[in-house]
Amino acid sequence: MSFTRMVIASFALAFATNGSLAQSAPWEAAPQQQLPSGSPFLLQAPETGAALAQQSPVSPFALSITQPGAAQATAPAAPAANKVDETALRYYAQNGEIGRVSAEIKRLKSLHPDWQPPENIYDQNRVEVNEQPLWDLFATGRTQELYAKIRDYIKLYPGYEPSDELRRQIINAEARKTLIQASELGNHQEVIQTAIKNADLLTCQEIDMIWRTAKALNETGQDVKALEAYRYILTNCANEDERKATVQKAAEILPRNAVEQLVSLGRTGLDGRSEFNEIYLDLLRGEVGEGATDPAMMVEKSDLDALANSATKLQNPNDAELLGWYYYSREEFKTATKWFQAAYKLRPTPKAIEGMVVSMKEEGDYEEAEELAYKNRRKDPLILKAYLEVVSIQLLEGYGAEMDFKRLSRFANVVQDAQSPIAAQVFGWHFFNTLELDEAEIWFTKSMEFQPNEAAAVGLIVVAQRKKQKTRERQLIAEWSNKFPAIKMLGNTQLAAASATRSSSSGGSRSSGSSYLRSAEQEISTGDYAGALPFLERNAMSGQESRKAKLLRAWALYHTGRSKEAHKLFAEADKSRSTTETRQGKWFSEKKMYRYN
Amino acid sequence: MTTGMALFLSLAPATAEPVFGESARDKEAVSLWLGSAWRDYTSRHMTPEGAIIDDANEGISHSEGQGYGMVLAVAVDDRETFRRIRDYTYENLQVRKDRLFAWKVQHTPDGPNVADTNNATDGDLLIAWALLEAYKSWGDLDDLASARAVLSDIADTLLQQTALGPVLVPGSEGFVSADHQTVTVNPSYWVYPALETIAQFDTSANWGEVAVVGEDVLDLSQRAPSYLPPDWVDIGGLKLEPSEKFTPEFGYNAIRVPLYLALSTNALRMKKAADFSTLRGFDDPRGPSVTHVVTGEPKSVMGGIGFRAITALTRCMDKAEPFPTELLQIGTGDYYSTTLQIFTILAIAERYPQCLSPEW
Repeated sequence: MSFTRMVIASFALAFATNGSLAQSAPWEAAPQQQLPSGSPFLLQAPETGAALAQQSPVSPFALSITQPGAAQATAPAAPAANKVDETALRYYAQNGEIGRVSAEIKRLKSLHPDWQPPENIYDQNRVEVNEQPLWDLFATGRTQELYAKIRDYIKLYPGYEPSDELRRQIINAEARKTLIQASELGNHQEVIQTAIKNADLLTCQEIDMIWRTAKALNETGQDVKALEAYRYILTNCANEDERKATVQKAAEILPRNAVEQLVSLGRTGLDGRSEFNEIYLDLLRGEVGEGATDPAMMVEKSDLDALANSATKLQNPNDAELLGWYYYSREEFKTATKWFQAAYKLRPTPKAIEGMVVSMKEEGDYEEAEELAYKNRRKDPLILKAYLEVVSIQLLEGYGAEMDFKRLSRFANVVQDAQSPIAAQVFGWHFFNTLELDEAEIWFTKSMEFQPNEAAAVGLIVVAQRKKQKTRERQLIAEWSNKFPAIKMLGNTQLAAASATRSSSSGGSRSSGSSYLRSAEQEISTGDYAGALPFLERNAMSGQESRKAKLLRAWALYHTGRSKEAHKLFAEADKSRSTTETRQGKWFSEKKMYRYN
Repeated sequence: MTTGMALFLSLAPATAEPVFGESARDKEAVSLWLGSAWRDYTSRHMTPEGAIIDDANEGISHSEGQGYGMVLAVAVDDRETFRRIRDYTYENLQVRKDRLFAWKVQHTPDGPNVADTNNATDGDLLIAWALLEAYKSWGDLDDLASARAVLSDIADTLLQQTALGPVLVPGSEGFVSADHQTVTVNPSYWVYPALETIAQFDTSANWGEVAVVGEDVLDLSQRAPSYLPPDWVDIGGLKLEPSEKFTPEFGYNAIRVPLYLALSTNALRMKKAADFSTLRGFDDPRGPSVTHVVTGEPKSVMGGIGFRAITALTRCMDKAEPFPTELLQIGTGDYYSTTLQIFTILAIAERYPQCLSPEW
């Protein structure tokens, strides 16, 4: 693309009082009234030197010629003192740039203490032109059509000018394309030549162009000039991320002392630290991060301290999170939780939440872990998984009875949504233990639907057994005994015992038969037979029910109105060894049976 | 002047709670924007008598629009217009046996005509909220009394006990099944900023609890695959499902949920608003989509600057993504979209000003 030169001024001057505005438009398009009728729409790159310096307080990186003093070029002429220039204010307002409106109001007020901003700056008064068709042409590279269309627009909409952004993009597009292509192909000389020819390209707005040019300079052995390019960025460009990226890029190709020179150009923040402090910290981060995935790796305490310092004093959430994972890998869960919490406070990310949840879970703070995981389950599949796990653990450990409707109901929703076979069967066992057989059956069935598994199959069989659905029980055993060997080995009599083995296959329960018994005794001590019963039933299913436990279960059944079952147990116990207790039990339950049943 | 001032002060509410919109107006650049937006709003969407016109809905007026208009009038400190909308609302919509408002008014050549006397609970809540904000702003005790009258009727007739606690019934007729087992509710009728203000001025119900139950309803209604809440849900016994009476869609109702959460002063609710940014369609530059909540399929993009503003707000809250400046354009949207746009800008200016300018 070649740009015919054309001298223009008026549009630029309208905004020339404001530096940042002019800076965003390194070249200008001809205003419509200056175009001889019928002449093409012209784009132009301004000549370097004075013309440019007038418009822009920062010159592009001058690669070909040294121009000392260019950057300190004359400031734009001040507007006439008695007239407040509201051009920029209105421009910002029309663009919806409220922050800039605010700054401009402040500036104008400091210049003109009596001035008040006009009320109508945001009112609609500009030509509403949808530039989208132009952008579409631009994006698809149909340059000639684009220019024709811009000419049409200027005729069609009096006062229309292509937006700054569009103009800037058009003029730089071609040069940029050439430079990138050359850079990708490793044609370093061509990169450098293009950069020299299109000096406008090497501005803070086109930082990638400077980076690529610097790389090309380095590749062609001109490290001093490459360093100069990086130094240009650090002296002139404000964007923090780009400045940091600049140092990082330099660190990849330039020798250490050159990088240190660049680091010394770092601006000092309010905290008294260089903005490039981070780049050194990054090295530490790499190390601790490796340590977090490799528990055998030794990490220096001083490095951990430095990172901890960054996490707390510099409030870096990533470092806090990193330390969380590090201590998690070392199984120091309390410390890990602390760091994840710190990270979360600084910035609530899914990873920090996941870290908190899994650490609290490992530490045994189930309820807190559950709440947190539930609230954030949508943020990350791993949090969802942690939620299902922490509720499952609580159910397996027998805390289900303490959960209120809300917690159970939302667990049900999530299990359904997540289609988790494991969580569904755990839920089934929870209902089985609380003797809600219908609900238990629903969840065992769901679990099988999500994915057939032994624990749920056993669950269905035990439910059928409990409901005395002999046919269904036989069907289920027949249906699944080929797939799950454990079921094949089960006789009806062994079934109950076998159901207890599922806890190990589902991976989570740490409860043994005797812990159920302890829980049951606790319930009975408070007179809560209904609460004790599920524990006793689970204990019985373990297949190692002691006589004492059996009698307890009988009494619990008796006290919860299931006298028939109670009577059966008392009778069995009485048969093997008749005591006062067994006889009393038999008698009481008989009495109740005949009176009420 | 001094006596008038003294009288005014004696009537001013004791609470030091800031009026909605006050801190937004403190920023001159925002205040000027609000002024322009409000001039445009009243010229395009309000009659000289004080009726807010829903131009996308056959030009009717409704209690929701009157409520929004009243809240916005207080927020931009326009007492004269507030009075006009308030008086119009009382004259033309408060026509029921109780002190709630008929939801729908048609404008006919013979004047306004109430087309449906059923109420809309969100409209009633918005009106009550506006009256309370007006009272906080200008100290007229009549406004406080009017608000309490409306709230007492909401408390008496529109709170229904469920397994989750008391829920807001969307209207006095047609939302509770004959056997009282199923209630159809709308998660976007929980206007959190309204409920939070109301809780400070009225004790006819435990409004704080009502708001918390609203969050529970919302939580349980956000389900896979999209996690977008449906516009309407049925609560029956222990179950909560997308309502059978409506298409199970996240749409023009529920899009307000993140806005209301963002307008809340409660940190957890604000976080919930931010969480919306991760959901389907919330990163779409064209705006959010009406989405089938069971299949997760988007149906159509919600056209309008206000909807895009809400999704951009959630993205800024969650990821500090700057609020796109084109969403501040004035004079483009219909009644609903523009209302949501102005509320969103208010939310941002009041609570998340750094979304508009990093220096705030």
